[in-house]
Amino acid sequence: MNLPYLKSLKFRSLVCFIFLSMVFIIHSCKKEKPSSKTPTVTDSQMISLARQWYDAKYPAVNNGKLTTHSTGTGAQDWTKAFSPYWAKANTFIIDSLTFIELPALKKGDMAMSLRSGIDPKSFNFSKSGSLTSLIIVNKNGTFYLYAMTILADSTYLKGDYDKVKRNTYRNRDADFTGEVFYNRMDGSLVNGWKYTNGLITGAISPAAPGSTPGQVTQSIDKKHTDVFQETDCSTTTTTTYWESCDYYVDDELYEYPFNCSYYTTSSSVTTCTTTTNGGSPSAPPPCTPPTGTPDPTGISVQNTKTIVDVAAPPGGGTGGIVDGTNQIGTAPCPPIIAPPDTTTKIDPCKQIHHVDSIAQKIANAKIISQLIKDTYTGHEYGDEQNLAKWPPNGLYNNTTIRTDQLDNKFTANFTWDSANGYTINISHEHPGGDAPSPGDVFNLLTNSWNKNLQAAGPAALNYYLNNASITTVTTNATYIITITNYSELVKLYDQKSPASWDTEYQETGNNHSGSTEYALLSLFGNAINVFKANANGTVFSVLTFDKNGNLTLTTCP
Amino acid sequence: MKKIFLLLAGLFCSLYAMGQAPTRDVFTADTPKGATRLSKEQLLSYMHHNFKTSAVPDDKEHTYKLDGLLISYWSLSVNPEFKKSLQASESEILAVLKRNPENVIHYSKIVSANKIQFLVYEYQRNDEVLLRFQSEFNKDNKNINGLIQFKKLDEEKAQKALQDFLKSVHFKE
Repeated sequence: MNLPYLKSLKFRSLVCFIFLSMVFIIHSCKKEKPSSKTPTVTDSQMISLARQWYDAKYPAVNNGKLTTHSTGTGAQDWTKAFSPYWAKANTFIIDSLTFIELPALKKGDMAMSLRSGIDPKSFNFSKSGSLTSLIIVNKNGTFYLYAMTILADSTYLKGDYDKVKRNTYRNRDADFTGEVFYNRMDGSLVNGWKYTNGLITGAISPAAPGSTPGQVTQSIDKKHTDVFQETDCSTTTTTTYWESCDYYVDDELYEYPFNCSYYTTSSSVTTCTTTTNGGSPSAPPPCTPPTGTPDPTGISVQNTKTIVDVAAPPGGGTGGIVDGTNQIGTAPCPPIIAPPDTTTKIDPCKQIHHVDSIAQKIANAKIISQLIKDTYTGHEYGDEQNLAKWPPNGLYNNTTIRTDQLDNKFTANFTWDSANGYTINISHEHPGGDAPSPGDVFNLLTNSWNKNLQAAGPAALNYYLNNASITTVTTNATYIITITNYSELVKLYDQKSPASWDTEYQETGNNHSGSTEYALLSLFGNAINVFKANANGTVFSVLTFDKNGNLTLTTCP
Repeated sequence: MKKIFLLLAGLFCSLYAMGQAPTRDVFTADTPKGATRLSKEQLLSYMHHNFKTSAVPDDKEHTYKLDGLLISYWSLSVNPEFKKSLQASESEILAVLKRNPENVIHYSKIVSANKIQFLVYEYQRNDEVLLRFQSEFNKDNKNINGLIQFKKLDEEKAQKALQDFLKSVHFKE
């Protein structure tokens, strides 16, 4: 077929025009299609939204121009003391949450102090080294308001009381030494951080009910030395000095107070510091930047000084709000298949004080003596020692001693949650006098696979691996086993069935005059540390082999 | 005639000495009569072909096979603080054996032989039986351990082998 018009310039131009027109129309249609993407909220819009929320939530505060405070009552409604300085709001995003940091307009003055007993009338607010700002967090469209109080130490200020202003939510001065407290607007403490030379050296939390000021430590008598990993907690009282004044209605920035009165409020806080001796170079970062879960293993060694970083967020950020109630700063970490640093063998002497400490607590609670009595029933009895809080605050809870009414089995209840506690030791007795069994050894491992513990993140898991223990009480001795090499333990677990391990353990022991200690150490000595004390004793030695291959007890320095 | 008598006496003494199984400087006991001594390789091969599980340690000098029995004995030394009474060991051993439901414990008892106290205990896994014994510790913190592994049908032979051993065993002075 001959179609000469197809070759004409006019025809070709027409085809080209139609094609380009179609492309244009299609492209235009695409652009006009409604986007499913959430419209971006600008910083100013976010501040505006926050202000609307604040005005609605605290109308009385916002409207009150002539403000009075009740004095001396310890009133803890901080909204009456602070209001946001909206014009100086600063927004930023951390961990997908929008934060707004605002200077606090103080209706009167307020300062936190570690010193109590000062007459509030004579308290010098200008030299307090205390600075309070407001932090608004937007999480999924809901706003939360906190007060951040930075309390600088005199060693940091060196007489320059304005120096504290260099510190913000996101940034701390490189040499900042002091504390940062986060409070809800009802005055209750959410959490806080202790800093030394710009590094976080302690996690602050509300003191447990009934706590009294003073040192509460998980070690017996040694701190910061010869301890593999030790969480030391101390409870102290922070005093807040308040100046309560009246202001004229048109004094929007509360610059001209009158009718001032003064009072104090106080609260008990617990500061926990985890130390190690020449530990790993640094800890894995917590998974909730910038605040993260306090990481008891966050340690860096500089020269010969051990510096503890209990919450080293990625990028060396700041320690921020960790609010379990509102789930801010507590985003769960992804499950961990292999925890960090699992191949290095842990020197038992670096665990010995922790072991002694655990045993002391169990002994103090008369658990060991009770278990020894229970051996005469022929049944295995046991219980658990659970951390009262995570991160640890030095307090433990003992579960009820119970039995399965069996001679060779005690079913432990491992938990890792706030309701039941965080199991760090399982105590049980062996009426026959035998050392920890293969089942006990592998319980150390299988408990680490607890879903809650895995979800708690690397800090919790690392803490467990370094501190978890199983105590076996007999009439002749008390044994405590801990993990020394996680990878080796996993390897052994995968090697053969529990029944096969039981058989090998029994035959190894029987070939050595029935010594279960020998069987335990020869089969599992590369994966666990074995500590032994006299019956009802709390001073442990390390069970090892001497150069002749015979069992011996090594006393740690 | 006198020379022949002396020669025969010397030969008898030599053979008797060869029949003794000195375990270095700890104890002596008669070699099981008619038994064949096994090297490590022979032991492993024998175990592999005759038993499902291996309980006999493969590093002991005195390991024999005797008509379906595997016999092994050895000495052990411990540091003083790890010395245990036979009663304590018995309790510990039974506790461990009871943990494994595959074990059927036949008995355990403490007996005396040549003024030495022995813990003797026997247990069974499937159709294989382990007859074990261990002595009290001497003043040098050393003791005597042994094991006879056999099929259930050879129980009588095993008991006789044990009695023969206990009759001849002595701590060296």
